[in-house]
Amino acid sequence: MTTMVRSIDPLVVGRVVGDVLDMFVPMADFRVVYGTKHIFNGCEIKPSLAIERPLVQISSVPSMDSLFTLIMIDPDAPSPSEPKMKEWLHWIVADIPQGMDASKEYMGPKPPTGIHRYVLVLFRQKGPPTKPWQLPPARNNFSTRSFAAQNGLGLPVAAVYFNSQKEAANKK
Amino acid sequence: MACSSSTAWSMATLKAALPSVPSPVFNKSPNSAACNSSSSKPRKMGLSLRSSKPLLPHYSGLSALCPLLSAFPSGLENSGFDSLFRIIDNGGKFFAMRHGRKVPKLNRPPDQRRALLRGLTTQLLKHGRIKTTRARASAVRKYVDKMITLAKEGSLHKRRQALGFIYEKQIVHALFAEVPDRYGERNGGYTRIIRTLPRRGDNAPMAYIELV
Repeated sequence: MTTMVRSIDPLVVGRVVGDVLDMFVPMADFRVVYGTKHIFNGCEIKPSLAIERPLVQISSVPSMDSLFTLIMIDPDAPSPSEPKMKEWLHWIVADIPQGMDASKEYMGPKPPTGIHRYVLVLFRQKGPPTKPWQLPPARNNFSTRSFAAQNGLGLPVAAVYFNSQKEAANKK
Repeated sequence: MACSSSTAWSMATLKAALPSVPSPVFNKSPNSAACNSSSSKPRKMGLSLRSSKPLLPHYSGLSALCPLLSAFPSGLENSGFDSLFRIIDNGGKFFAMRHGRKVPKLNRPPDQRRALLRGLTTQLLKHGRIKTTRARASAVRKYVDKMITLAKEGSLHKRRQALGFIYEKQIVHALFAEVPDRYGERNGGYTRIIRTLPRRGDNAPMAYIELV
């Protein structure tokens, strides 16, 4: 271990860039808010707080007025030590801001075991939303890279991830 | 560049202050951009696209700057600047060096220390990622690597040695079944530590430790 390439970018440190995405240059900024909590890379969110869909605000260069696609996935399903169902699709929204075209209904984080990362990725759509989206049939074994390749989305423009683990059940 | 309306430190102010950003869009109104980002966000239903002034310059072709700019995690501006120092702080040890210190004592007598490390490795192998204090995470690395090395060898003797260390039988059997596929090519370094924000109750520096 003489030389180690140390990266301080939180997405690389948290291995989001390796497991889910390819290295990209962030072009847009977006804020995700669950209830009152703003998401930053690597923060801890309780599943009970994330049951409802979050508030997402995208701020980007307005001269390139284009549509966006947001995808939320869990790369550690069902457990980080054995991610057999990697990745688990939680949410897809296409054609933002034109319409709330929720292609896949929002499903909150439900980590059965271990601490899971939940990644929200933003893509910029290239053309008008003429062609229908090929929705994946099931939520498990989703691949963000192949979905982006299939629909011509290219590299992401923004990404954020948070951690979540199973809450201790209230014993009454 | 003083946008004194809020106490939260704003990324846009820092980006405005940094030199050698040759984008013409950026020089127009850094002040208003900084004020925009630090004021509280109005509540909007559903998704909204901000059509006001750009908060970020167009980044194409400036990827060399990104590692510098992202040195400060962009989301932590909400929790204040001082939390960054907590991450970098070393805990106030007396000596700056670690000369000759081989065994992490973890503030426990030897029997409890061994039990703690056995418990932590068991849980890490079971869940794949655990959150614990930084000292414990860096102490447990050695034992997790040892267990995975035992599983790589795979003989009965090694299996029994692993059973003597890990608290749960099922985990040992699962480990021995899975390790050759998963870590066959990797030589050592089967864990990764990611430092996080300190714990609220006692300000202990925390870390996630995960398998590879």
